[in-house]
Amino acid sequence: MRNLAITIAICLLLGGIAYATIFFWQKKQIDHAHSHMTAFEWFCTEFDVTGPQRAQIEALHQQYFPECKDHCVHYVDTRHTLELITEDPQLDNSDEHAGAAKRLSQLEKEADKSFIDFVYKIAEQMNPEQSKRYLQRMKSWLDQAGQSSGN
Amino acid sequence: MTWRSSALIWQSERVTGTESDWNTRHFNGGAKIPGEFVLSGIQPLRSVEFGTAKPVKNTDYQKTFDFALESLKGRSEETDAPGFEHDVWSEIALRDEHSARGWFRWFQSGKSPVSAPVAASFAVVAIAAGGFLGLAQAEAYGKQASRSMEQRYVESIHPVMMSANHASDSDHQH
Repeated sequence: MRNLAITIAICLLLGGIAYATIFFWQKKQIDHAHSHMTAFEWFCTEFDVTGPQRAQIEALHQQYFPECKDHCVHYVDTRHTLELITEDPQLDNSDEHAGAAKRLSQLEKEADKSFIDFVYKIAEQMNPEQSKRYLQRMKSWLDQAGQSSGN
Repeated sequence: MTWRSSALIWQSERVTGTESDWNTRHFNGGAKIPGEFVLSGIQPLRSVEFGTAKPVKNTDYQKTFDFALESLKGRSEETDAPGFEHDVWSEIALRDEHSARGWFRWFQSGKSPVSAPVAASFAVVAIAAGGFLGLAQAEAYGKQASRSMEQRYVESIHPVMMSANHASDSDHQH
């Protein structure tokens, strides 16, 4: 026979230990898996892409990465130029200012377009269920990017 | 017969009366109050109060009682109802306080033994609940980690998002 209060305290302690053990064990596994995973590997795991399908999709990614990087560098340069113009009071509302802002906006639209084209290319290589899920997930990021850039 | 003796007899009559009689008479038939409580609001007759009184025969007592009752009915307007209510509410407050302390004392006293099978059942339920909560929390953490990986993936294929990542890297380098 045991005291109810002590029993409750021991049970709470056991529950807490079970919680901590399970949670930290799982967390360690998740952290370990993600720390050794590239973004593309995550994509393959998340959307069950394997075998020849994976090879085809990886080739498309490899083909697209340089183009995306060039676009990114161009975008960063234009944004930097716009920042310099904005900081200069003499260039405020000048043609250079308007031109740089327009160019940046154009690059953002191009970035969205190239992103959409690319994700549809990838989706074509997937089965219907995979592609639907993939496009939904990518669309949410596109919407988020549009909201953050004010488009 | 003094007022005190008649009051004592009146108290005796109140204590021995039924709960409904008491409620009807003193609370105008209002909200019902548990009998235990109502009766506990009356001071019990103590022997010391009768200590000075001489023993009386049954017949004398009946006469005395009738006289006291009549006397009391005649003085019904002089009853101290507000004072009595104050005592009742004080009793309520004291009981509430005692019941709260009672729980604490019960918890500390160890007077509530639990059998080994019940204790083992509690332990199994607690461990299962802890494990379930741990799994649920880990799943939420996994989803959050997966979302971070997804962000990394999107940043690798969207030029503008890649530039944000590039800018943060540059900030870190600076």
